[in-house]
Formats: sequence, C-alpha cells, structure tokens
Amino acid sequence: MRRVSFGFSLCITRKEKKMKILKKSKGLDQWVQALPYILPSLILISLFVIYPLLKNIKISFFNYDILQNKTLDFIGFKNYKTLFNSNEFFISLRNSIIYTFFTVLGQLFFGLLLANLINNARKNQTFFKVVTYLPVVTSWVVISLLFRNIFSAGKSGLVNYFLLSIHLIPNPISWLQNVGTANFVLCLFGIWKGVGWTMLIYFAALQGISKTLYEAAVIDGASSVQRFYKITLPLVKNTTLYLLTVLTIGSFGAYIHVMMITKGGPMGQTRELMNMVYDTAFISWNFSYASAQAVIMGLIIFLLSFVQRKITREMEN
Amino acid sequence: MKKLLIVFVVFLMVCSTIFANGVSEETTKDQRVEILFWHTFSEGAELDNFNEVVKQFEVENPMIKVNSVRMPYEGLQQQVITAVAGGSAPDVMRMDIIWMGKMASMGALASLDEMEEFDKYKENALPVPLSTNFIKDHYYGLPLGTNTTLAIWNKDLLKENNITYIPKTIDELEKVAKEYSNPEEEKYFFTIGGTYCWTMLPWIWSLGGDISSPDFTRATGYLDSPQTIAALKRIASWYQAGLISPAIIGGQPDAWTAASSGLLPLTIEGPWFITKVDTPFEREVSLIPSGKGGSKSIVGGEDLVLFKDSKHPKEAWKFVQYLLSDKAQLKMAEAGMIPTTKTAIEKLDTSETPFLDTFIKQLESTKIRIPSKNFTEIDNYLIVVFEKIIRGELSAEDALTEAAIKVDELLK
Amino acid sequence: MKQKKLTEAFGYLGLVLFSIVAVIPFLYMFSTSMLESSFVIPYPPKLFPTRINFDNYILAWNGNHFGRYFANSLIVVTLSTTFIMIISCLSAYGFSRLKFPGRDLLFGLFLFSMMIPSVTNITPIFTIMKSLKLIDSYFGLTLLYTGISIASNTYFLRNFFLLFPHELEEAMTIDGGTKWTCFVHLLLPLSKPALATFGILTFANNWEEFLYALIFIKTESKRTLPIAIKLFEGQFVSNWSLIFAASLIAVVPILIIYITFQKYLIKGGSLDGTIK
Repeated sequence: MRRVSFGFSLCITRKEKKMKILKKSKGLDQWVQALPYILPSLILISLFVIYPLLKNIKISFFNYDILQNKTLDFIGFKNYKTLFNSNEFFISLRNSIIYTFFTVLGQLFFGLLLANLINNARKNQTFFKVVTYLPVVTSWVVISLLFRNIFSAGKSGLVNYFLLSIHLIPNPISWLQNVGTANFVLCLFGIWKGVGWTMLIYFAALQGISKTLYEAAVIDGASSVQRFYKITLPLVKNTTLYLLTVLTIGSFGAYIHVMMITKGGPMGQTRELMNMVYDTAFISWNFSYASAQAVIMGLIIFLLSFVQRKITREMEN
Repeated sequence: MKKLLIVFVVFLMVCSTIFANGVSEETTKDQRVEILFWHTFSEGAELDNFNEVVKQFEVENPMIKVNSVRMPYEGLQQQVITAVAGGSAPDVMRMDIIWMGKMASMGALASLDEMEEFDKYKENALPVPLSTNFIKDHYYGLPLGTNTTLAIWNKDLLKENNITYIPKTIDELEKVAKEYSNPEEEKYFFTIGGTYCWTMLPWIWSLGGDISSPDFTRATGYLDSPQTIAALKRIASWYQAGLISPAIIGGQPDAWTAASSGLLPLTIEGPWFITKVDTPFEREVSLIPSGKGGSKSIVGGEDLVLFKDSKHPKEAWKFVQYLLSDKAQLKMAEAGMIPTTKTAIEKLDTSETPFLDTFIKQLESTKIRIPSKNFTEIDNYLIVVFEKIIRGELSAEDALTEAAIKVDELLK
Repeated sequence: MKQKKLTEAFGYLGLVLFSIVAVIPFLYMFSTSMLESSFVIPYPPKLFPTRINFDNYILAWNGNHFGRYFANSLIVVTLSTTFIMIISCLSAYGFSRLKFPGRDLLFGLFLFSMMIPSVTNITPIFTIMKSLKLIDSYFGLTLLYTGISIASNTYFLRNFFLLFPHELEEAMTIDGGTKWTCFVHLLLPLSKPALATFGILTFANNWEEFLYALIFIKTESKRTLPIAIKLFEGQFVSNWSLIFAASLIAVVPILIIYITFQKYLIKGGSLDGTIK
C-alpha cells in the first residue's frame, strides 16, 4: 500500500516540478523577450530616479551633512515627528489640497471641453490649438507677475476695475491680501496655465474615437450633449485616469506660482507643501528634513491616487 | 524608415560627442595652474572691465590661468551646494554677503586669517563690509563690492507739489508725508519695499531700535526692547494712516515699479536705481532721514571667498589679492562698482558721478545683517512677524516678545 | 439643423473667448518688448504697443551669447527628444503589449517613483553623473533627461498602446510577424497622434529645462538657451523689455514644432478598417 502511494506521490511531485520548471522557463522566456524593450529604461530609471529616491529615504532617518555628502548619526523618526507637530505642515497641506482639487478638476473639465470644441470646429483648428497652448509655454515668472498685476487690490487693478464697472462688487477686493481670495487667484492661475496641455492630450485621445460612432448616434437622434456624455466621456476614460494621476502629481509639485504671486502671503498662509520642501532644502540646507517631507508628500500623493482610482471605479459601477 | 532613424540618431550622438570633447582638451595642454572663479557680473561694462582685470592678472602672473565663469542668479545656491557636495567646487567665488554665515558655518569655505599678508588686506578693507566676513572668530573672505541704500528724491514731483525743503529727519518726513499722501487717490509719499530685513532695518535702526546684540548672539533685549517696539509701532502707523503705500505688505504697484514710474516723491534704493535706470524725472540723493538712532542704512554687496576643498589655494589667494589692489578696484569702479578698500576709495574720482559721494558717506553709517548661519530663516520668520504688526493683527509688544525668543533659538 | 448651427456658434464663441484670455500675457510680453530698455514692467499693464520696433530682439540675439546658446539648445534638444522617444516607445511597448512576470509590479514602481518630489535628488544625481564621467557632455544630459522622464513617458504611451485590440497583433503573427515587426510596422504607424503629441511635449519640456542644464554643463560655450535668458536678469534691476524679447524668441521653435507636428493629430477613425 505504502509503496504504491509513495511511488504515486513521487509521480505527482515530478509533474508539479515539471510544471514549475515550465512556468519558470516560460517566465524567463518572457523576460528575455521583453528585456530589449525595457532594459534601457530600467537602467536609466535605476540610476537617475530609484537610486536617488532610496538615498533620500535613507537620509531622512539620519542627520546629514550636505556639504560633505555624509550621513551622520541615526535619528530615527525624529524628522517625521517634527513634521507632524508643525503648524506649517498642516497649513501647507491644506493649501496644496485646495490647489490640487480645483486645478485638477478645472483642467480636466476645460481641457476636455476645449479639445472637444476644437475637434468639432470646422475651420481654424490649428489657430485655436496653438493659441490655447500658448499659456503652457509662456514662462511661469511672466504669468505670475501678470496675475499679480491684474489682481492687485484697489480700484486700478484690472480685475477690480472690470468688476466695479459692471457693478458686480461694491468695493475693490484685496485679492492677494486675504487667504481665501489669494488661494482663488492661485487656483485660477493653475487652471489657466495647464489647460492647454490637458487639451492637447485629450485631443490626441479623441482621435482614437471612431467617427462612425458619432454618425450612428446622430442618426439615432442624440443631441450633442448626449453624444458627449454617452460616447466621448466613457471612451476617454483611460486618458482621464492618466491625467488625474499626472495632474495631481504636477499640482503638488508646483511652487513657483506661490513664490511669485503671493510670496507665501498673506503672512505665510498660502504656502504649499512644495514651497516647504524647497525652502527646507535650499534655504535651510536641511536635506535630511527635506527628504522626510518629500517622502510624506509622496505617500500623500500615492494615497490620493489610490482614492481617485477607487472613486472612478465606483462611479463606473 | 527604421534604418534612417538609426542612422540619424547615431549621427547626432557622434556630433555631440565630438562637440562635447572638443573644448576641454585645450586647457590640459599648457603648464599653467588653472583656477576656477564663479561670479555674477552683468554683461556690459561690468563684465568687460572685469575681464580686462583678469587679463592683466594673467599677464602679471604667467603661471596662473583664470577660468572665470559667469553664473545666473537663479539656481546659484543649488549649484554651489551641488558642486561642494560633489567635490567640484570652484576655487574662488564672488559671493553675496548674505550667504557667508551659512557657507562658512557649514564648512564650505577656507578661513583666510592664516593666508600670507592677510592682515594688510584686512586693515585696508572698509570696516563694515569687512565685518560680513567675520564668522565664528575667523575671517572667511574679503569684501569685493559693496552697496547701500539711501533716500532718492523725485525732484520733479516735489516741485509740482511745492515741496522745497528735503526732509532730513523722520519727524520732518512724517509731516510732509501727511500733507501729501491721500490713500483714496492712491497717492503716497513714500513706501517700504516689504517687511524683510533689507527694507525694514534702515528704518528700525534710524528710529533707534535693533534686532540683535552687537555680537549677534542674542535677540532678547534688542528685538523686544522698548525702542524697537516703538519703531515698529511708528512704521505701522505710517501704513495705517496711509503715508506709505500697501507695497509694504505686497500690494501693487511694488516699490520698484512705483518709484521708477515716477509715482513716489521719495524712494529708498541703492545706486543701481541711478546708474542703471533712466528716468524722465530728475533725482536727488540724500542720507536716510534720521531719527533717534541717527541716519542708519544697510550694507549689501559681495565677498571674495576661497573654497576649502580647492586644490590651488595659493594661486586663488594671489588672485584675490590682485582683485583688491587699487588698480583692479578702480578699473572695476569705472563700471559703477563701489570700491571696498580704503586706499581705492580715496583715489576714486566721483566728478562724473557726484551721487556716489553721498553713497560713500552713507556707507560710513551702516550696519550689517546678522551674519548667522540661519540668517535667511530669521529673515523669513521676521517677514511674517513684521507683516502681522503692520497689519494690526498683533500688537508690537506681543509679536516682538515672542519673536525675540524664537530668534534667540535660531541664533544659537 | 438650427440646433446644430447654434451649438456650433456657441462652441466658436467659447473658443474665441478662451483664446483672448490665453493671448493676453503674450500681448503683454510683446508690447513690453517694444519699449525702449524698460527696467520696470509697465504699470498699469500695457497690452498694445505704441510703436513697433524690433531693437530689443536684435539686442537680445546678440547679447549673453544668446545666438550660440540657441544653436546649442537646438542640437541638444533635438538629440534628446529623439533619444527619449525611441527609449520611451520601446519601454511603453514592453509594459503594455508584452507579458512577463512582475510586469505590473515593476510598472507600479515606475508610477510610485513619479510621486516623490525630486528636488533633493540633485546631489545623488551629481555623484552618479560624475562617476560615470557624464558631466559637461550633451550625451550625459540626454541620458539624464531620459532617466528622469521615463516613468511618466512610459505611463503616457502605455495608455495609448493599451487601446489596441489584440486581434491586430494576432492577425500579424499569423502572417509570420514577430513582436518587433508588430511594434514597428503596426503599432507605431497607428499611434501617430499619440507620438506627435508626445514629441511636442517632450521637445517643449527639454527646451525649457534650466536647472540640470545649468549644473551639468560646465563649459560656458556649451550652455543652453534657458541659461542665456536668465543671464539677462540683473542682480537688482532687470531689463524686462529685453528679457521678454529674448523669451519670445525662445518660444518660436516650440511653436514651430507644435504647428509642424500637430498635423499628425489627424482626425480620428485611425483604427477603422485596419482589422479588415
């Protein structure tokens, strides 16, 4: 009895082993086949992104002498504790979230709208494409200065002048002197500067939608709004998801607009997370603390992306 | 198609490698010692004059070659940090005095006290700019260029408003400003550029206050002293009463734009406002209106520093010595730089630029910003504190008492 | 019919309104660049020039080695854009159409690497560039640009490549094609819109890149255009009319590339009929 079962189990393991080897060799085969395509990118990303990333994570747990490029004593989670105890962190986090929320939604909405309008326009497509892209390539500094100018408090600020003349507001608004309105100006800037980029990507995505789908819908009597909701929106879903992630990362990484428009004011209340990291690294030269901040920022963005994906999956169902 | 693409890419890569290696081969051929010098001189007379000085230095020192590289202001800090950390720092640099505290404390710079004949140069340097180099009991540099701010008046605007007498004291200034300013019409007599040290300190000092002890170790007793509190209260009252424009808290137009556009009868600015900008209106200079503390202004400028890891400190020092010679100083002064050595200042010919005499006079009554390694953090912190006081969000007493404790920590 | 005309008109109006808003800063820059040597950005903002003269443009071209750095940028950005496009397409193909164990995990790593800010990466990158002797070389800069953008580039292209139905590849394989031929003769030609967009964006990004170009190109004669523009800025005063003129010149190549490549963003239906 035992001998038979023993022999039987041997057979089984041999079969399982063969399967495993087959699987392994299949896996290896697949790797060999894929390697020529992904090897250059793997090498480059390891050198220039992964290695610095790991180094940064490491130095966030140590005291670090930037000029000697040496890690000093181990300090554990001290940087992280300091960060979570600082008022500054939470104010910056709040501002970053507000900025990201409004600019990402604004760019998605207006980007798709513009892409759609241009796609359907029969004449002057190139002109509109170029003009809407102009803000993207204009320097941040120039646009920031311009925004500072047109949103200046007092009657002579362009926006105030306009709003006063159409009697929309009774008194001139001190746009940049109050946290709420200052954040509004910053968000407006973010949307305005990035929408051309989003438009371009949506436009490319729209090219992949077959004309016949629209034609069929028109025959069925669908209005342009219905066509948009039932055909366009679902078919650019992948692009929207991509943009959601990338725009979120981009919004968190922006800092020049705060530096140039509000200079962090009023009284440092509009600073965003990236300003904090930048100042910690290049004003205080505290790379160890800056790395800890960067790691936390990365985790926050990761969490947000995760949540975004969950929400979009829910909305589909 | 594929073949064409590959050929094209290979072609570009070959081009770039040829291009890449072409230039660097030359310098290794000669026997001279090469020192790397970083600076931020502007293109035009400043750069041309400087290049002539460098050429002359190489003529007089045939074994030394100076590789002088011009850097943009933006990203300069990152460049220096990266270069030092990566072991590729320059030998000599013309560095903004504001960075001295940090650079010296972090160990990037070489101390110069032991260098040959250092004392001679120390004695000849203008005392206030020199003091920006004294960090933690050692000298880490010598001043190369210096500047200060003083009162620049828009004569045309004064004439239009029948103001014939230029105020010499702060009390007089207040009186004239009260008559002139009208916030409803957005008409202001003067302004303060912002609540940062560069623009606030001349006023705070002139009003008799200060932000730290003379040895820069303590803020309590100074930042929270009755004089400083009174000074801040006074400045805040100027804003509340509409004597100065909202530029101080970031309103538009900013101080520079307003002054250059002829909107302000008085502006506090440096020599560049006169040398670099052509205005349609006539300007006159005078010392900062004086208060209890006299007429005090603030010093800016650059120091020459040697990096600690330099492989050619002797040659670098020779170059520094040359740049501080009267010959070099006066050549650079032709392009508008104010000399930093006593002997060069004596020889300076200001017949074509009489306003420089007033600047040099104001320089004698200046103080420096704290040469601490945390100066920028202190400045950034005080910006918010001062803004709160100006806006009336916090009383001067409360704000400054709290600030003194915080700044004490940063000064440790 | 009427409704169609109405929606079209509305659409046009929207586009025109947005275009006006988009063009305003440009007008601002343009009219300031027409002013004679202005150290002040005009307040109140001037949108329309009072006189047209291109003195500042000539001055800008001749100043701060602008012309030289412009040529340098043309070389280095064309080189790097081409290189990046090739490597990114290969990488995106690998991650979208090929299967191998750990593929999605590896791609997740790529994604995560995009999320942590890279400001503090500058010193480790410098160490690597120095030890690989890549400093002061355009090829080194190209490798760096490729490395730091490969994650987001792969992500971008992969999205487009994933949209292709498998039937296409199967049809090709039946006809005797390999993965490579699928890639080159099938996927790439059909991805023209994505590739054109990608090319435009990569070119624009690299054209404007300032910090790494500043830190890793040591020889002054090899510097790139963004550095020339920054050199126009003075310590205390900046000649804004000159800087704006320089900035506007710098934008021209991007616009040329944009206009040239946007014709590849041809109207859809690229997949119709190919299966047949």
